[in-house]
Amino acid sequence: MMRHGWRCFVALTHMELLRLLRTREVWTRMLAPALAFPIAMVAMAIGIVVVVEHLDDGRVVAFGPDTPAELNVQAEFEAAGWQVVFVSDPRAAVRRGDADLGVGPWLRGAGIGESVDHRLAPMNEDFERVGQLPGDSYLWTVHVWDSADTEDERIHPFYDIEEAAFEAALAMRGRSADGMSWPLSFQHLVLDDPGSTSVDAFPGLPDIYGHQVRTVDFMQLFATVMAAALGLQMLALSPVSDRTEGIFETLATSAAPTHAILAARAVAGGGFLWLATSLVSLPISGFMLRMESPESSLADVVLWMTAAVVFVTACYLPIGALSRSIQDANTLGAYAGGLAMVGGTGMVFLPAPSALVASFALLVLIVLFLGRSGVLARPPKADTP
Amino acid sequence: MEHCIEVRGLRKTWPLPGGARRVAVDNVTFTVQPGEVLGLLGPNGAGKTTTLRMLVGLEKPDEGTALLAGVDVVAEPTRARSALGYLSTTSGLPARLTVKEVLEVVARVQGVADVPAAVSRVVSGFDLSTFTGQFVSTLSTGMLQRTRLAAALVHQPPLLVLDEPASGLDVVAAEELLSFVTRARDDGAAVLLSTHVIDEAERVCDRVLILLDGKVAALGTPAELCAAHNGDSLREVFRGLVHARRQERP
Repeated sequence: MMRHGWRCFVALTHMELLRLLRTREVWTRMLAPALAFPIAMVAMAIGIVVVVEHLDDGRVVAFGPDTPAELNVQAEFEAAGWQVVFVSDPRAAVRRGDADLGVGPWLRGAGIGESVDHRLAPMNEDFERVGQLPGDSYLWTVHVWDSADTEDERIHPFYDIEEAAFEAALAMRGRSADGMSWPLSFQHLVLDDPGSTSVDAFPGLPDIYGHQVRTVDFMQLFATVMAAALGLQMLALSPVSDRTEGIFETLATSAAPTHAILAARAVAGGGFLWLATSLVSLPISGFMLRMESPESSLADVVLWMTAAVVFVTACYLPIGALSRSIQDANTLGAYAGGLAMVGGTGMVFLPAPSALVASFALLVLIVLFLGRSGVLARPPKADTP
Repeated sequence: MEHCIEVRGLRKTWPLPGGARRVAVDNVTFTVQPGEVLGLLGPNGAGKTTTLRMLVGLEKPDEGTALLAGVDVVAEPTRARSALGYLSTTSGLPARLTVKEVLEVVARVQGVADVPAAVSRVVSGFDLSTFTGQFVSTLSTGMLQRTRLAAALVHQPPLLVLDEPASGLDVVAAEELLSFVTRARDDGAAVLLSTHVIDEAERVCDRVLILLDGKVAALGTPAELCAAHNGDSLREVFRGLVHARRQERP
């Protein structure tokens, strides 16, 4: 019996793959858009950079007289297209409208530069646990006076300063930065709302109170969203019409076990979903990992993405198997898509292999449950006009 | 184990608004022996399709049992259906597979040991050789129905359940299909044939079961039914029974 089940599974998977390969809509609605998406993303990113640079042209940043000379902060802003002025009171300059951004006063702290030996050891051992006492970690705290429509792009020049100054400080002590950033704290103050103060934590000091969102996590979320969106297309392309066209009935009255029929559909449909999601995600993942997160490997992203696709398949499979009409599938599919996105997002808290195993286990359970419920025998019903 | 179809006391009800239930099939019992064609006749809504759907495991009966080759279709559906060839007006084939691919998949799924030989047998038996490379979506109605019947018979099932197999076919195609049915019967299959066409039933069925309002109204050979109900033909008997049942309704 077991052998017959496997034989059915192999034959039906082959059949489903052939059908999908020959379905024009799979190519035109899934794979072609999936190929076009990374190109559109790159074009959009270039467009955003051009627009932001254009908007920053001619902006004025006002520094106070206490600006630390060793940071050479004005050079970074000039390189970013800002006009730099030195004034006695940066806050007043912003208030008068003479500057778009005011920087100062500067406060020197104990900082990592002063206690580098005992701070660096724990940082190297357990990078995510540093920064528990931010006051000890910052060499400089700077007040950034800004108008109400604060844009984060305005403090980007500081990031370059951090890198250079931190590496210089470490080099003086014969240590390596190991890719960490200069611990510089921004007291980001809004002129129109003096009571509001926020510390802009930056990559060198991860948020220890929550899950640290890494590039690989972002890609997992991205892959989950993409897989859910593409899965909705996949749902529209076969299972529902199979009920209305009587193919479920033909299969349900054959000697094939129902779980073998469903497993074949999950493997074939999930395989195509994986292919489409890879086309969308992997070019972007590879680019981002190379640029921003060298500690994450492409293998991690592939594992995450596979886990996401398996999870999405597990969410959509019951919809395809249970829906009796196109309307049912669309309505329930939308909910399943939401569930897939939320569940897939939650999986970032698991290690990649665990996420994959958990998703796969969920899919197997769903296949077995549906297989016992005689789901394929449900007759189709007409859509409500 | 003798390969026959056996139905005992099948009953099925459907819910109605307000909590009431409509009886679709009520205490239906019959047997189809090997080498026999049993015709299932009845007007629309008589319960024919519901009976067949319960028999092949697509619906669960409220009461009663359906046995295929002695195996309970509810308790062991996969094993019971391995002896079954089923064709209905609502069953379909994947449009983007060729005729040959469909027959191969069905043969594998049905557990056929020598798939190429089985496919070759039905291809020649149903005169499909010029269509084997054609996609199912491009077949004419007659060719499609012939392909569906070939798929239902590719594993040489000892039991055949056919629900309106000639529906939508022209006269010639319907004739061909009926000749395939009689050939299967002559090869020893037990055939249950549901049909609206009384001439068809009269020609190919060894016995006929007339179902009215979900109940067995008559069961026997066409000659026995004519004699029992004082009719010259099966059509006359059928009309008489339907008319009498309508008179009895409140």
